[in-house]
Amino acid sequence: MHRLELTDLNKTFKNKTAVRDINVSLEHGVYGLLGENGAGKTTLMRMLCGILEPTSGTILCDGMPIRQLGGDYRMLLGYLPQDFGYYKEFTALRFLHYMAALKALPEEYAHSRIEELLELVDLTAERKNRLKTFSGGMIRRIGIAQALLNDPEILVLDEPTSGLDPGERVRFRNIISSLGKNRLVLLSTHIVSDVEYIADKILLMKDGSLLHVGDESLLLSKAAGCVWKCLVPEAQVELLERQHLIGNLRHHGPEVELRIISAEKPWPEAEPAEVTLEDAYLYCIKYTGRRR
Amino acid sequence: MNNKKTHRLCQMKSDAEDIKALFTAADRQLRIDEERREQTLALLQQEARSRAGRPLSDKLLLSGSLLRYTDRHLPCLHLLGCIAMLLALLTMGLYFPTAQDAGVMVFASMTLPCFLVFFSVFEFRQICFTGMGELSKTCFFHVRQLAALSMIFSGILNLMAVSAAIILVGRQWKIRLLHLGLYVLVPFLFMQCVCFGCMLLEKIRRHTWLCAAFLLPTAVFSLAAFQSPALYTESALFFWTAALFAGIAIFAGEMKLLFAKLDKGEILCTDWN
Repeated sequence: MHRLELTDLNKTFKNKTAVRDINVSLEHGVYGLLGENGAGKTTLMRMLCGILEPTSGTILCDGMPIRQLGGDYRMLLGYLPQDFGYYKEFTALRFLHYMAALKALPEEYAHSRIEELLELVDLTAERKNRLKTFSGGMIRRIGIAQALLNDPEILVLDEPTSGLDPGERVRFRNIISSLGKNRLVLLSTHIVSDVEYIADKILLMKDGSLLHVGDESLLLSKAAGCVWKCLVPEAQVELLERQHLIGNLRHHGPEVELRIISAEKPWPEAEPAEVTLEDAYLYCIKYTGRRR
Repeated sequence: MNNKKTHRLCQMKSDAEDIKALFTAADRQLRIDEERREQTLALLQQEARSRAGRPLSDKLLLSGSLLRYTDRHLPCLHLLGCIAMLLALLTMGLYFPTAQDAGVMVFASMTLPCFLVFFSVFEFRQICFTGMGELSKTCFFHVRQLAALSMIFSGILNLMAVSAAIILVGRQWKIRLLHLGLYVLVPFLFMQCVCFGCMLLEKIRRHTWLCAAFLLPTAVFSLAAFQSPALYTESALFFWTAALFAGIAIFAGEMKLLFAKLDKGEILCTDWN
């Protein structure tokens, strides 16, 4: 088990600061990194994987800078990028063998590991097909397989479930959940339910900064008393949308059921609702920003 | 004043030694829990065994494995390109066989090898700028190593092809090999510098075929040289040699910059979709 320490981490591209003043320690378990588009999640993950050099700050693995550890750190790492690059003419089997060779896995070990992983991601039947014939979901599954090839102790997954159908997503969540017991798993996603079911800790990111680091209950407590549900006439919806942050909107005949994030009661007949992770996410990311 | 300073330094040294002695005495009094020590030792041994269970094989075996599964389409096309270039020179030799045609053959041997540069550029691009670069930067065999390997392989192939062209043309048309070498290598190196310099620019990295536009000035230069007998005199050799060394220096500088950018990582993450 390894410990990653990020201290005063910053990354600036020309005029834009993508990551600012990140200070966090990560140990074993599943960390869910939540944030809207452009929050800096991918940049943070790339720095953790040693792909991007930070503008300032340090990333230590067990007390050693990851750049100094070099190949030793990369041996511990498994990475699935958001935009997964591959050679289209390669078959699934050849691609995994190539990745195994890049990860310096002995061929004998690689053979058995690849068979194991193809079964895990349910692609055994398609192993001799070229990757250009694969659907988006199948490519994602191959991506997950290559990330797990070297049995990594630090697994970084950027939007791993994008393109997967609900059944595949559940299967993937179970895999990650079991892996997280003895490893450090960091996964970023827009799908709140993925994080809800499997993350031990949640990292909430906005405009390059970490707004929250902690478990789900702590995040939920931030939005306590700020979630309401009410049935309103359709004509009032537009007004309420302008005045408040609407978490969900559902039509029931002439009326509309709204789920509203607000510190004050938004409608006379509104009732407090139980806070979900999605509500807490909206509260932290959108509501507090809106109030400013 | 100096005596006071010396005295103060001696006092500080003595204090430091006292503190050290206190720590040493405290260490001796520390009781080590034997059961805890056994547990830690067992954990360390287990860790060592788990690492040994998946040994890092001999680097040659791993490199062999890498070569076995790497994409070989472009290197094969590159080899075919080299053969095609030599065949083209041989074919031209059939149409321009006399000593008077030496100038035409020099022009051809200055221009044709420049096409080989595109293969080097495409191979480099495939490793670094197709999304695989980002992924391979997280692997034990780094993108930097793969890029260097690609450059070495394509460099050897290009130099062999260019050397063969120089020997072929030089021997048949009785041109001094050293002179012909300079005439051929200078435009080749110019093309190399321009194309790899373009790799530093984002727009051209995405549309590598734009490098083909630089064939035109190279061909124009070769044509101008072909029509200027003064450029082939002994006294002009100095300028050809200077141009060669300048080209080597520029190319080396570009490679250093390119590899530094690979290390920094941003060019690997450019949207290549």
